Amino acid sequence: MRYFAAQGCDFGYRMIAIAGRFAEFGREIDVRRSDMATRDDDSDSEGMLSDVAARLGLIETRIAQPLTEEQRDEVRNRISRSIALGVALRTYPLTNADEPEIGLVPYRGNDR
Amino acid sequence: MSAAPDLAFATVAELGTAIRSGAVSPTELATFSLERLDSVGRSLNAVATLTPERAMAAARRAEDELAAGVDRGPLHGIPYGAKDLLATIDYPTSWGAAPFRDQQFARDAEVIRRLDEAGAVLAGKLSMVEIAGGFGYEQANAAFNGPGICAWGRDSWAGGSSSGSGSAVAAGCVPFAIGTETWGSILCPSSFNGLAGLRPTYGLVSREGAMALSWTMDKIGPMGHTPGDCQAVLGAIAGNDDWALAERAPGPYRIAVLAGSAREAQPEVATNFAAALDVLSDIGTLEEVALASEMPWDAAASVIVMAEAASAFEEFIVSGESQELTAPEDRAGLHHALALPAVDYLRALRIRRKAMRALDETLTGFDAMVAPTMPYVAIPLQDRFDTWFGRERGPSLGAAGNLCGVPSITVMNGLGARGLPTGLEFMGRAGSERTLLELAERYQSVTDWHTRHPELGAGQKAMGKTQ
Repeated sequence: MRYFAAQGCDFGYRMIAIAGRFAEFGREIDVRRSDMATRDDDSDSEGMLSDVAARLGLIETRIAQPLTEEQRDEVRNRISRSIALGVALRTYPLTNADEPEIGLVPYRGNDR
Repeated sequence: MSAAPDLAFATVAELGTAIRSGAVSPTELATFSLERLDSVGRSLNAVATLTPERAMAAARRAEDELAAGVDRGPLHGIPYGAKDLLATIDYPTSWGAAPFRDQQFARDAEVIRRLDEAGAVLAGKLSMVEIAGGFGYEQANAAFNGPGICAWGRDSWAGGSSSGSGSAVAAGCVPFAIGTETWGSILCPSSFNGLAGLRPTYGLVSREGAMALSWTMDKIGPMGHTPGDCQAVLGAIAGNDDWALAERAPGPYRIAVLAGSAREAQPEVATNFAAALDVLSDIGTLEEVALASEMPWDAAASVIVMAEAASAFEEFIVSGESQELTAPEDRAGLHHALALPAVDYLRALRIRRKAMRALDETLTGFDAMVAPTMPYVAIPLQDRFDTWFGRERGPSLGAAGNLCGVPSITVMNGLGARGLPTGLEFMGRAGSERTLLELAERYQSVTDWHTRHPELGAGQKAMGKTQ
């Protein structure tokens, strides 16, 4: 399966499976440049499927309106993509000292 | 039409001169814009809601003030449109989405308030892709009032998510509009519609009263015909003047050219980019530069947008209201992000800190980095995005620029396939708006692409500004 990061318009970016099918997702992810890692063994494939199923299960416990089958397939696709993004993020090494860009400004009240 | 049709494509600066000389009044301009938005604008699906009562009241106020010698500046009496995610009292703010079509807010967004103070005249709320595209739309028909149509070609998409802002300005309905960008939404429709569009540094323009898609990625900025007009608008909406006071080092412009950025672009985009580089080589020095290849710009930006958007719209997703969105793929489009691990989001934020420093290091010593704004012209209305966005492409500035919150401006640099505009992007370091605007203005001063305007069909032909 081949993923391509594409610039779009606002959330028009998307990771898109050019092959168009996800039957073998996880067996091999062909990545674009150094942004993604390659997986090529069956245990990773099973892990990926298990991860997708687990996340979908979690999602379906939370939503008020059940998904159609077509929607469930698309949600699975998008979960796979976000898993791939997580893999891509982990190609870049970080240490304990690397803090997130989060600005906390303690509230001081209107009288100070 | 109540006013001369050649007002359709006049710049803010030109209209300001016309107002002060008495050639045209603010009420005439407001009437003109309202009528043109109602006719041409609606035909392009650019209009969400017209604001005639507010517009005429503001126009009359501008006339009275100017007559009394009160001059609020370059936007006084100038009509404009606002992307329909900016709250306006007394009119709906729909966010482009059917479930929110009748939504009303009790206060104006801060940007709207500032434009009021500057004497600008709000003529209408402009169409946008539903929820600013945050639910992952994959084709143009993703707004409750229809797909945004490019002013240059009615079989082409206006771009998004600031679709209406792009086509309304390009079609001569208003001289400027306010758009927003999380990732591409000012630059894309500006490029597709042949406009100047400025994405300011993150945080320079207040987001108060604007729909939040991604709190750490959303920016608000102007779209118009020239960098000068964008500058005038930024002066009114920015929260501080630091950007205007920042001076560049003297001497020729130093311009970085993003290596490989025209690779895989449409041939005309690549040709026009090369021609633009020829022009820029007369203005300054050029040097090919690559972004840090090991930095996962796209992945980090993507995860941040997903996580923040899913949180911002969590109730909307969980309740099932998202099932009422227009684009079928949007209805369950963000469900996946409900299960995005927090560690992934935090990792993206940790990478962001390093990315910002890496990008700044790359841009240090340069006034701007340039690249084609989009690798193709406005895409056909009926095409799905994966036909275009899914293709292997060269590097671009969008992921890095938006992840790191730095400013960019796009200007028209030619015509491409199907006679549609191509765009040239200038990206700079945080706070470098003044330099970018000056450089883009300098580029426009030696080219004439910004004087080209679309033919708009029988009875609506643009006059006054011709090729």
